[in-house]
Amino acid sequence: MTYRLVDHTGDTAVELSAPTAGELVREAARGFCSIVVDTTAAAPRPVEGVDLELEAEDGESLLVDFLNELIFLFDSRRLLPWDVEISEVSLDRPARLRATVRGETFDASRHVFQTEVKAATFHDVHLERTAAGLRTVVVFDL
Amino acid sequence: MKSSWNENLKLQRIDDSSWRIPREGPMRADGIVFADDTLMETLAEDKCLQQVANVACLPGIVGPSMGMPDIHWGYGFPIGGVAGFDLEEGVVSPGGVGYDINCGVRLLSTDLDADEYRDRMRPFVDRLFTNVPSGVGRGRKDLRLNEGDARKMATRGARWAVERGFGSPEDIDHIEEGGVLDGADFDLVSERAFERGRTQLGTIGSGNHFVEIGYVDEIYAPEVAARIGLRLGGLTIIIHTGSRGFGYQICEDHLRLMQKAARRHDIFLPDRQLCCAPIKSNEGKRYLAAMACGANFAFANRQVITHWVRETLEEAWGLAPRDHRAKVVYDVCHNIAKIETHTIDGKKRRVCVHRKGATRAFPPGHPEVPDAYRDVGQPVLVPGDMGRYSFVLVGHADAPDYTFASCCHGAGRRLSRKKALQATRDRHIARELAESGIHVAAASRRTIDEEFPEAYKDVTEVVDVVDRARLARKVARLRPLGVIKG
Repeated sequence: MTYRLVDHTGDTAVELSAPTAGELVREAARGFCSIVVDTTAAAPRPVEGVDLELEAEDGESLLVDFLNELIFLFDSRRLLPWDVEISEVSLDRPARLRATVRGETFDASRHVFQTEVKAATFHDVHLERTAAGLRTVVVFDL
Repeated sequence: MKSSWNENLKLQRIDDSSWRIPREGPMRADGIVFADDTLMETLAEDKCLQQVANVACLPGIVGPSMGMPDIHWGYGFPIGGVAGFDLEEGVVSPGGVGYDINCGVRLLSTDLDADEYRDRMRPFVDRLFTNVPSGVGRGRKDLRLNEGDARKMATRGARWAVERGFGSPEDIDHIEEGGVLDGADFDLVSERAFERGRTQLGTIGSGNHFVEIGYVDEIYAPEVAARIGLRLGGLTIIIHTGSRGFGYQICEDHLRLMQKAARRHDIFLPDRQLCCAPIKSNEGKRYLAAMACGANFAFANRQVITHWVRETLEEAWGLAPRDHRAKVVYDVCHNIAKIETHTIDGKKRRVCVHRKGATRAFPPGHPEVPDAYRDVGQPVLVPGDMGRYSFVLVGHADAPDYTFASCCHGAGRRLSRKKALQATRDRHIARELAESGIHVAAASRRTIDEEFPEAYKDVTEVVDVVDRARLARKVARLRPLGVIKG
């Protein structure tokens, strides 16, 4: 179960792999945080919760929509979405997610801001089912 | 409809500054990429040429799918991509504009001499960093939009900002489209877009956005430079930013709608990020009307920042407005879709031109060039990296007609951000720049490292190809003295 930032000339991509759909969603949140702030600078304090309910035509769209929800939460409320409590998830068609995003408000005295993320894109996004579970790469516009 | 179309591309040399990707498979037109041998070598390493071919697959494309000399790997359209679409048969694609709707560049000239202020840059840059918010911070507390303001701003662009006391009416004359894109409909902007944009007007954001003070260090076309107000040694200011969260959200909202629209209209998409709808469809019209709101936010944003730059000149150096006379030379959009009239194969046609990381470059005599510049052509602003140069050009009288009067928009990245961080691990870029006379203020050291000069191609190489391919004509070169980044 990992996330890994992948090279992309203009922007940044995150490669996600996990044994289950729920773990993949959690990795997506962690990957996002690692782009926005230096995750080694301060221990995460997942003290605030925001409930999410998403539906999408397929798993790829759901993941992109989910990441764009996180971007919206950070941009509008400064919420750093450290972790996700999953109530229900399916990345098959139609895809569905019911979850609580756990995080904290960005605090310049503790957190080291790295870069603004404009959006998660649909560019070349494919959800692969592998022997180890699920794998995908999402490209962000920075 | 999705596909795994991904053939090995053929690439044919046309001349010393352009290449053809011949039409094949699902492509509906050729691709044409402007590059010399050196630039082409760097392009072969990523997927941007495939992206040029992918855009050529979209319905109703008029002329070739193009890559400007600063082309690099984007998401969907390449960055540096240009494509025009027929109004009846063609499509409009939010991905062909990008999230940062009307990201663009504004250049100010001043009556100040660089030599007189070179040693007083640090206080100016620090003051500017305070006056113009960047990075994660929200905008200034003295500028918050309520819904009524947002509605006016979204439909009146830079004109709204001037009416609110940011800058002067003369500024408007030197902005692409007069600082306002027509056809904006605020009712098509989501609550989320408003929420993101409400506190972000008057901010530059992060990444490659900046405000830079510099000077004119070389002039190639003296008569043109004089006409647009540039003189050797004169202090200049460049503002590079766009529509912030307001525009990003508008793009995202419509991309989601277009995923469905593309399927309903049975449009073949080589990449889902290219999702689109016919220009004349309801989805297409609604996107263009919402996009115009985003574009107008960006025009207003650069106008507000211009006002604060002028205030900073006055505060940091104890000047009066009549001392610096900071004027808008021009303001260009480089992420936009516009309905324009172009002569193609001798015939006048209305086309929807997408410029994704590309700049419009109207030639001398074009009716949309401001009166004051009509006989020299529209100024084109091409910022480079923060250590070397930026260029000012004008539209070329003999530009190839199939380019829709388009030009590059910057240097183009050479290294990814990750590689840039690796390359700068043992260096102190801010100190190196300061030693060479360039003062930087940024939210983090990381931003400076990611944006260090060598992360970009040498903009001189890019502009030389532009000049040789007659996309635009070189007028002046600017050198940086101080930069703020997010």
